[in-house]
Amino acid sequence: MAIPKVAIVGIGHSKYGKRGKVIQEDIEGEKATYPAVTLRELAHESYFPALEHAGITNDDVEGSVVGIAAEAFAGQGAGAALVADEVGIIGKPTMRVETACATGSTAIRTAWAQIASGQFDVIAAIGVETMTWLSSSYATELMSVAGDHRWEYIYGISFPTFYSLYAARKMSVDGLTREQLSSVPVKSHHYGYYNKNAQLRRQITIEDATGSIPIAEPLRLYDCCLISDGSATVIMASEEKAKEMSSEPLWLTGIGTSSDTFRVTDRPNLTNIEGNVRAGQMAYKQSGKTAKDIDVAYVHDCFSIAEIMAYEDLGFCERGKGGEWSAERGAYIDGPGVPTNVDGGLKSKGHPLGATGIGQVVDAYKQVYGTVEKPRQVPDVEVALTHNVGQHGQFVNVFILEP
Amino acid sequence: MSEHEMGFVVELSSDVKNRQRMTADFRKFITGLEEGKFLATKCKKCGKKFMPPRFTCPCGGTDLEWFEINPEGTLYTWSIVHFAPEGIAKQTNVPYVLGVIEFEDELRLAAHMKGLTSKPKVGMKVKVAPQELENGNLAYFIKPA
Repeated sequence: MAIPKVAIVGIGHSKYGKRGKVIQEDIEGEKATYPAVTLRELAHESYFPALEHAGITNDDVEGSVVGIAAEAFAGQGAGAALVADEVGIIGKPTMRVETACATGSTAIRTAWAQIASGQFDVIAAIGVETMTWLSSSYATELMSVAGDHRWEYIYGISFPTFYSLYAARKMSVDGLTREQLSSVPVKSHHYGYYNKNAQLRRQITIEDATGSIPIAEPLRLYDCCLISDGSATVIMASEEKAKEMSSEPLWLTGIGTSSDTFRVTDRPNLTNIEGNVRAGQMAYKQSGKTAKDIDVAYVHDCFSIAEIMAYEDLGFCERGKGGEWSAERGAYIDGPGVPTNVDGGLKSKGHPLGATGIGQVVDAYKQVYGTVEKPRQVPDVEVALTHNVGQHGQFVNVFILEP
Repeated sequence: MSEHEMGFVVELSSDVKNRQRMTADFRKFITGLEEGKFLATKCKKCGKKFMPPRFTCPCGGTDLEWFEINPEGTLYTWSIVHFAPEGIAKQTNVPYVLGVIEFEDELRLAAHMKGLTSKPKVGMKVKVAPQELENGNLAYFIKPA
């Protein structure tokens, strides 16, 4: 079941953060709001470091796949053309991909397919998003309109609300507790504190999380990830080219992918995300690995409940026991299980939608080659897993990565 | 806890008639509501039932029949929403309560909740009921049974 060999040979990662907005007078003297950092500037911040890391020039790059989740966030149509032009991948094919919050990993999956098919040898996957220039309520609106307009959106189901429906159900069915939920962001911030690329580098306590303001009960502020500006890039190469270019390639040995129903009410249950399970099993099967083999994992913690379901869905712990697992420090480096989101996750590192799935792979690369900040370095990483979810499971990508 | 304290001023955003494109199929659902009925669909080819109603079936079937469902059920899950999306925030006060009711055959429907006197609980007996709004529009709400 092995899949064609494609490697990550270059990585780049901007600092994720809140760059905010600038207000300028327009031509008619009216005040207009613009992003303080543009797609162009952000793309530079990860692409050229990735190119340098790969030890190649733009002459060697045969094309690009650009992940931008929402044109409305960027204020720019045809963003792939702009990004490719800006970083100098000119006269070569480019395309934008979009699978909501899983856009970044879909850019990698698309680049992988272009190389695995034999059409190209070297492709750049670039993820970039500018979000923080918009108000939180408008950003919430842009994400909420992804819900079914007729049966969900008009009831004001925001993205925190979708996940709160899972949380309330899981509390009732599996006995998930408020404190167990709070243990997830405590861990994220514990590790994000050490990550120089993270947006919110601050340690928090269980009490901070449990006592934070309600957003969509049962979920509170500290259950919710950040809104961020940022970019991440990986340069990907075929087996032959990767061996020629890099002494430290990271091979994609599993490319699992799946989906789930569009409407939340059509799911078979709201205690797990079955799309996670399907994507995970596909990736495990392709790579010949199981959950027991994973040394470090990056899971999509857009909300604390999402990380708890991911532990179960990816087999890190028993189904229904994700909350206990989290509270028992199952996902800490010195814990009994798979160290998870030791980069701070979406909660502390940040979540610039189009970049997120690529940023996970960049950090996995650094973990494998031992180059992250010492307090969050997992010893002897041989197998890494990344898990990136769009909406609440409508898009799921799970990758297995090995040196 | 009174309804006012729970912030159930959701009339405009719940309007099922005027906030979306009306199709012939959806008109049937609305007509049912106007008569106090909740109509679901069933595929004549494979027998699968749909609530919310689908007008085509994933099996490829395009001939679906309507049937009335018992509007009583249990609360499958809930959320108390304190920050609304911008497009909704203009038409509602926060917090508002969202519920998912589960009917027979594991059919489910999401709607705003009304008439609660305490926080919602998974498994509580609830029903869904249409309601004409003050402005003449139509909505439906999940309420304790």
